[in-house]
Amino acid sequence: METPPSAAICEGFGTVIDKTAYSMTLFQDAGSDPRLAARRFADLLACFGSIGNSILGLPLDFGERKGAIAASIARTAHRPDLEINALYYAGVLSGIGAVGNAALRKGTPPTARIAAMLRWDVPADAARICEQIAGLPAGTADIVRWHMENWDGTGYPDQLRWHTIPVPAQILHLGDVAARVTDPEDALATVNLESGRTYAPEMARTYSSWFHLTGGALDAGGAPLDALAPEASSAVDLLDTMADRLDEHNGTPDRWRRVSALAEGVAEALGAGDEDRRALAIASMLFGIGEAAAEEPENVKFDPLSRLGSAERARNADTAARVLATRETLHAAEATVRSRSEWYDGSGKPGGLQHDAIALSSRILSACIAYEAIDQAHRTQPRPDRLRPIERIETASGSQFDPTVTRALAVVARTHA
Amino acid sequence: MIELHERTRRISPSRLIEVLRRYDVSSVVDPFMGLPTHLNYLKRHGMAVHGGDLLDWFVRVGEGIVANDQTVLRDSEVAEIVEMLPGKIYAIDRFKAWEGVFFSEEQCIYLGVWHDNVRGLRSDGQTGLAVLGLWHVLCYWLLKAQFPDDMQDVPPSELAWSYIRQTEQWVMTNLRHNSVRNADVLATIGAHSADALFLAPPARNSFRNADARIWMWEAWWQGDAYYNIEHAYRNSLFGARSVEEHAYARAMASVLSAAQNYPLIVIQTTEQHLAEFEPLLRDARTHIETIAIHSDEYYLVGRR
Repeated sequence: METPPSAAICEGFGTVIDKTAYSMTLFQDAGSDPRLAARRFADLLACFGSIGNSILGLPLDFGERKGAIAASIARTAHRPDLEINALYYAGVLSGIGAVGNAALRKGTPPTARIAAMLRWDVPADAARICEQIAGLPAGTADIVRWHMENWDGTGYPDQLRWHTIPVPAQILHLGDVAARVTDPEDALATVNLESGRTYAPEMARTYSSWFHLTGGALDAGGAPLDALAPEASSAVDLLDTMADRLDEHNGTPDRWRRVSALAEGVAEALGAGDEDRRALAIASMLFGIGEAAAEEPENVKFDPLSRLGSAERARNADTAARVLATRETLHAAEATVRSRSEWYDGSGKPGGLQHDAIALSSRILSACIAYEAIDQAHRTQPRPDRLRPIERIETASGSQFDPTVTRALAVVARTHA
Repeated sequence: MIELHERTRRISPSRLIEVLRRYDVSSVVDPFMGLPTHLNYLKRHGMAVHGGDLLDWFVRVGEGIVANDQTVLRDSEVAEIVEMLPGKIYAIDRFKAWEGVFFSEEQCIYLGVWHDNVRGLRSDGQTGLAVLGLWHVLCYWLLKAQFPDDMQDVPPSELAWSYIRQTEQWVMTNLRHNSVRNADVLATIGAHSADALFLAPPARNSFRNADARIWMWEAWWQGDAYYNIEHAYRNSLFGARSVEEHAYARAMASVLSAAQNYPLIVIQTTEQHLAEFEPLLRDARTHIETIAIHSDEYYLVGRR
C-alpha cells in the first residue's frame, strides 16, 4: 500500500508511524489553548535558532537577544507592530541557515576562501526555511534574507544597496551588531564609524536615538507570542525540519528517522511509559545537535562501541542537552540526551551513572544510536569477516548497554531487517 | 547638492536563483544587466552567465566580477591606483567642472588621478575591480555631502584602498564560460544561447532619470565631466524610440521575438507593471506562469 507523504513521517526500516499518533507522542495535546500552542512553537523556533548559533560559534541566546534589540530599536523608530514582531522572530531565526550550510556542515572542508563565500548563503538559506514555516509573522523571511546586506552594496547574500534594502532588514543588522557586544556603547561606536558604508546614515541616527533613549536596556517582554499563528501540526513539522536539517548538516541523512523507528520499537517492547516515550521521541530527533558544532560526527571519529569516544560522546550529549534545557517544550528530553553517553556498568560519562540510575529512555537511545551507526557502516561497506551489527551490539551488552534493551533491540532490528 | 533618488530596482539574485532552479536552468543571459552583482551571485552558484549593457562602466565591472575567474589586485597594485605616482603626468583638471558642485577640489583631483591610473591597468579583470571599488568611493562622497555630520571623514586614498581591496572577495571561478558585452539588447540576445533569458527591463525613459551615481560614474570612466548618458542610449532599442508608450511596447515585443531560441524567459517586474508585460509575453510564449513575491517583485515566466 502506498503511503502518502503527509500521512507517514517515518519509514525507517519499514516502520510507518501515523502522524497524528506521532504528534501525540512528542507533545501533550495543546487542546484549544492557542497560547500554549504559540509558546510551544516559539520554543521550537528559539531552539532552531540556538542550533544555528551554536554552529556559528555564537551564544545560544544570541538570536533572541538580536531579535529583542532589533524590536526595541524598531519601537523607538515607531515602526508598525507587525514589523516589530517580525523583527523579533527574524532575529531568533537569523542563524538557522547555518544548519546544513555547505561551508559549515560535516564532510571535506572547502578552502577558506570558498568557505567564506559559502557562508554568505546563510541568510538566504535561513529565509528559505522561514518561508516554509507556517505561522511566522508576515515579512519575517525577507528580513532574515537581507539583514546582512550593507548600505553601500558590499553585504551579502544579494549585494543589495541603498534603499533596495528593506528598512526592517537594516534594523535587524543593527540588532546583530549590538547583540555581538556586551556593552551597547561599543556597538554605537561601530555603527557611527560604519555610517554610510555598512549602515544608512538614517539608520545610524536611529541606533543612536535608541541608545540614548533606552541606554541599550531591553524590555523584559520576551517573545511576542500573539504574533505567532501556528497551525495544529506546525510544531511537529518544525521539529521534523530541524531534525532533517541537522542530519543533513551532520552528514547522516535521515538518521533520526532510523533511530526513532528503532527507539519507538524498543520502547514499545519494553513497555516504556508515556513520559519516557515522549522524551525518547524528541531526543532521538535532536541528539545530533551536539555533533552539529563539533568538527566531525562522533561515529566517524570513534567506533560507537569504543571507550575512547566516550568523552567526545559526552561532550556532544552535553551540548545538545544544554540547548534543550533552555526550552520548556523540549525540556523533557534533556536528561535523555545528557545521559545517552553513560555506560550501563557505570564506567561512562558524564556522571558515571549505573543501571537504573540511567533513565530508560537514555539506555534505549544510546543502544539505538550505536546500532544505527554500525548498521549504516555495515550497509555501505559490508565486511563478511566481521560480526553482524546486532552481534556487535550484543558484545557490549551489560557493559555499555542495558541487556534488556539489547535483547529488545535485537528483536526489533530483526523485524526491521 | 545632488539628490540621490530611491529609484534603484531591487534585483535579488538569491530569489532569482530559486525561480531559475524550478526550471532546471543552468545558464542565463541578461541583456539589461546594469551593475552585474546579481550575475556574480549566479556565477558563484554554478550558473553560466552572460550579460550585456550599454553603459561601459557596468561592462567593465562585469569584466572584473563576472568574466574574470582569478585575477585580483594585490596590495602593491592597489597602492599604485589610489595615489598619484611620482613622475607620472596626470590630467588633474579632468573633473574640475564638478568642483564645488558635487565634490571638493581634492576629490576632483583624486578622480582625475584614479581615472588615469585605472586606464593604465593592463588586465580587464583588474580594471573592472578597480572601477567597482572606486565607484563605492564616489557613492560615499555623494552621500557624505548629504550627511556631512553622520559619516566619517576618511582620506580618499584610504577609502579607495579599502573598497578596491574588498572587490577581491567576489572573484571566483565556476568552471564555466561567463561573459559580458557592451551591446544593445538584441545584440546580446543574439550572441548567446542559454537555458533562460532574464529580463529586468528598464522603465520607460529611465535613462533620463538615471541615478547620479550611475551616470556620473560613466562620465568618470569616459573621462569627460560633461558626458551625457543619452549618448549611450540614443540609438538603442529602448532609447529614443521608446519615449512614447507604444514604442516601448514594440521594443519589448521585439526583444521577446528575438528570444525565441531561449527555452525560458523570465521577466522581473512589479504588480504595477504586470499588465504591461504579461500580454506581450503571452504573444511570445505558450505557457506563462506568474510568481508573485511582493507587489514590487513579480516574476513572469514564459515557456515554449
